[in-house]
Amino acid sequence: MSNRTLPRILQTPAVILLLIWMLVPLSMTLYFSFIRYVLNSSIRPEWMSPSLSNWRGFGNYKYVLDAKDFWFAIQNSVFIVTSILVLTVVLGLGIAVLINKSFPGRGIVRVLLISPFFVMPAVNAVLWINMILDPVLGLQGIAVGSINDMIDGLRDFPVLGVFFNLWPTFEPISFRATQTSAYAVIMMVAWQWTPFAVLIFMTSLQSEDESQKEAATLDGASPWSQFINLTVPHLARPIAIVVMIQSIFHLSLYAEIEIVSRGSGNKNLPYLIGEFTNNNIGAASATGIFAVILANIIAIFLLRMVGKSLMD
Amino acid sequence: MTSLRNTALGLAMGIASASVAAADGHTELTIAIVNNGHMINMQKVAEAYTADTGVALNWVSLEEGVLREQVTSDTATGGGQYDIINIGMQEAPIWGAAGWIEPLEFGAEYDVDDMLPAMRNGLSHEGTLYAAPFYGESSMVMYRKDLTEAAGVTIADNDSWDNVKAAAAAMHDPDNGVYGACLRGKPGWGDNMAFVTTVVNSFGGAWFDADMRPALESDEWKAAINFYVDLLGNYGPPGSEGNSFNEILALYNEDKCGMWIDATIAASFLENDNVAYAQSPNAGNPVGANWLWAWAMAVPTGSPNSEAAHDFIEWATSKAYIQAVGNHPDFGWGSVPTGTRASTYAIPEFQAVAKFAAAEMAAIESAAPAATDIKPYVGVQFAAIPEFPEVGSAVAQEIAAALSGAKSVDEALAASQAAADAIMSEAGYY
Repeated sequence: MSNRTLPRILQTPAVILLLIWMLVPLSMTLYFSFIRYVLNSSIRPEWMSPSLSNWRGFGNYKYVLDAKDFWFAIQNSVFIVTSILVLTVVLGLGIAVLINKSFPGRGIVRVLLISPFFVMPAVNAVLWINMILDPVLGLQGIAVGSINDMIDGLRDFPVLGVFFNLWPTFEPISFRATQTSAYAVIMMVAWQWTPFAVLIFMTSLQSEDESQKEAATLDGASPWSQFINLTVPHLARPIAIVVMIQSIFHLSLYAEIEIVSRGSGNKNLPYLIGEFTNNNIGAASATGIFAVILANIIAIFLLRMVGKSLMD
Repeated sequence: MTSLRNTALGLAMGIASASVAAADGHTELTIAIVNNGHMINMQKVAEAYTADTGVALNWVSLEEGVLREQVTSDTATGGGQYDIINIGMQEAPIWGAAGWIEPLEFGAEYDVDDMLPAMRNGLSHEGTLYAAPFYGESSMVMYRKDLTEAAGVTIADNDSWDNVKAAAAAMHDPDNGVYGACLRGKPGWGDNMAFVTTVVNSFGGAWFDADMRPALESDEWKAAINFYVDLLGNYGPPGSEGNSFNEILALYNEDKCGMWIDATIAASFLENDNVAYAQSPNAGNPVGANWLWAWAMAVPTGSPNSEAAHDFIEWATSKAYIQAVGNHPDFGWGSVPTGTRASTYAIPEFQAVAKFAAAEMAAIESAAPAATDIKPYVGVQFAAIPEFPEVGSAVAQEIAAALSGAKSVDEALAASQAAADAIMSEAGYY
C-alpha cells in the first residue's frame, strides 16, 4: 500500500459527489436528446412521458439544426461575446492605468467605478432599456428631444440660423428593434463587466516594476511606448484571465436578451433552449448538447491561451 | 462553525414544526399566482379567509412568463409544489383534457350560471369546467376625447380600420410628443400577437386551416400585417417594437398617446379624465376583433389538499369575494376583479365608479372563442393547443422584425410560415 492510497480514499467522497453532480444531469440530457419527449401533446400523448419506446436517434439534432434561428444564434453568441470582450479589455486597461496614479479622491473614484459590477443582471437590463435607452421616456428620448428643441431655437438667430437650418432633426434610436437589440445588450453587459476588468488590471499594475519604467524614461521612451512595451506585456496574464472568465459567463447570457427584445434580432444557444422548453424537451436537450460542445471548443482554446501565458 | 450548527438546528426545528403543524390538522395551501394588481390584492383580502377557516395560505407570486414556465413543468411532471395554480384561458382547456387539473364543481350558492358564458366556455373542456375565472378581460379602443375633438374626428363602436387609421393620423403630433396610436409591438404570443391576432381575425384570417396547417401566408394575414405595420410604424411612438401593456400604460399616463387598443382592464388604471371607450374595429367577421382572456384558478391533479383547495377557489371566485373587495378598507369598488360574473356589473356601487363597465361587458360578450368554419381551434387571440406558445413566440419575433423594418412583411410572413410549419409537423399534426 503506497502512501498515495490514503489521500485517494479520503478524496473519494468528494470526487464521487462531483461525478454524480455532473454525470446525472448530463446523461439525462443525452438520453432526452435521443427520444421524443414533449411536455404536452394532444395528438401524440405517448410522447408525454420519457421512455425508450420513443427512441428517435438523431432526429432531435436534425430538427434543431434546421430550426429557424440555430445558426443565427451561434453566430450571434460569438458576436456578442467577442464585442463585450474587446470593449471590456480596452476600457478596463485604459481606466486601470488612469486610476493607478494617485490623486485626491482616488478611493471614492475606485469604489464608484467598481459598483456597476454589483448590480444584478436583470436589474441592469431593466434600468438601461427603460431609463436610459428608451426612445420616448428614457434619457435618450429626452436628450434627443432637447437637442432638437435647441436647434429649433437657434434657427431663428440672424446669421447662425442659416447654419442651423442645414441641420437635420434627430430621430431617437429604438434599442429594442431587431437591428439594434444586440448592441443594447453589448452596451449594458460591457458597462457591468468593465469594472471587473479594471479590478483585475488594477491589482496587477501595482506589481509593475517602477525601476524598469524609470530606466525606460531615462532612455527616452515615450509614455505610449512604455505602455505598449512594458505595461501591456506585464498584464498578459490578467488579460487572459479576464478573457477566460468573461467568455464563460457571457456564453450563457439570458436575462439581458429576454428583457431587451425577447429574442428578436438577438439570440444565443441558452435562449434557444429556453424557447424549446416551452414544450419540446427533446429539442431543448439536443440544443443543450450543442451548447456543451460549443463551450468545450471555446474552453480548449482558452485553456491553451491561459496555459501559454502562465508558462511564459 | 457555531453559526453553521445553529442554521442546521434551525432547519431541523423548522422541518419538525412543519410536520407537527400538519399533524395538528391545520391545512396549509400553497398558491401560485401571477403578479398583477387583482391577485396581489387577493393576498390581503384572503386574510379574512384564514381567520374564518384556519386554513393557512402560502403565496408564491411570479411574473407571467415565469409563472407559466414553473407551473407547466411542475404540473407536467407531477411535481406537486402547488395546491392551487393561476392559469390562463390558453392552458385551461388543454390541461383539463390532459388530466393535469381537476374538474371543478361548486354548490348551488356559487351560482355557476352567473358566470359570463364566454368565460365559462373558454375555461371548459367538453362542457366540464376546469378552472374558475378570477378576473376576465377583453380588448377595446381607449382614446383621448379632447384630442379627437380638437382634430375633428370620431371613433365609433366597431369602426372600420380605415377610419381608425384616419383618426390616428389626425391626432399624430410627434413634435409635441403625442403619437396617434399606441399598440403592442413587443414580441411574445401573449404580447404583440394578442393584438395582432385580433387584427387578423377582423380581416378574416386564422392561424391554422382545417387540417391544422399554418395559414400565415394567406391574403388575410398579408393584408392585416401590412395594415398593422403601416398604422403603428407611421402613427405610433418610436420604439413600439418594445411596447406591451405596461410600457404603453406608462406612455398613456404621460399623455403621449391618442388612442390605445388593449385589454379592457387597462381602463381602471388610466389617469386622464378625457378617456372615452369604443368597441374594437371590425370588418364584420364573426370571430370579432375583441380578444378574450381570463386568469383563472385550478387545482393540479393529485394535490393532497384537494378538498381545501376547492373550497378556497369557491370562495375566491364567488359573489361574496367581490363584496369583500368592494367593502375592504384598502381597496373599494374601483378595484374589484371584473369580467367574470354578470352580477358584478349590476352592483350600483361598482357602476358608480367604473365608467368602463358597460363597454367591457359588451366586449366580453361579443368575443367568440369556439371553433368555427374559419378556424378549427378554440381561442380568439390564441389557439388552445399545447404547441401554440412555441408557434406564437416564433411568429411574434418575425412580426417585430417587420415592424422595426429589418424585414419586409412578406419576408417576415414567409419565415413565420416556415417556422410554424416545422413546429406543427414536428408535433405530429401531419
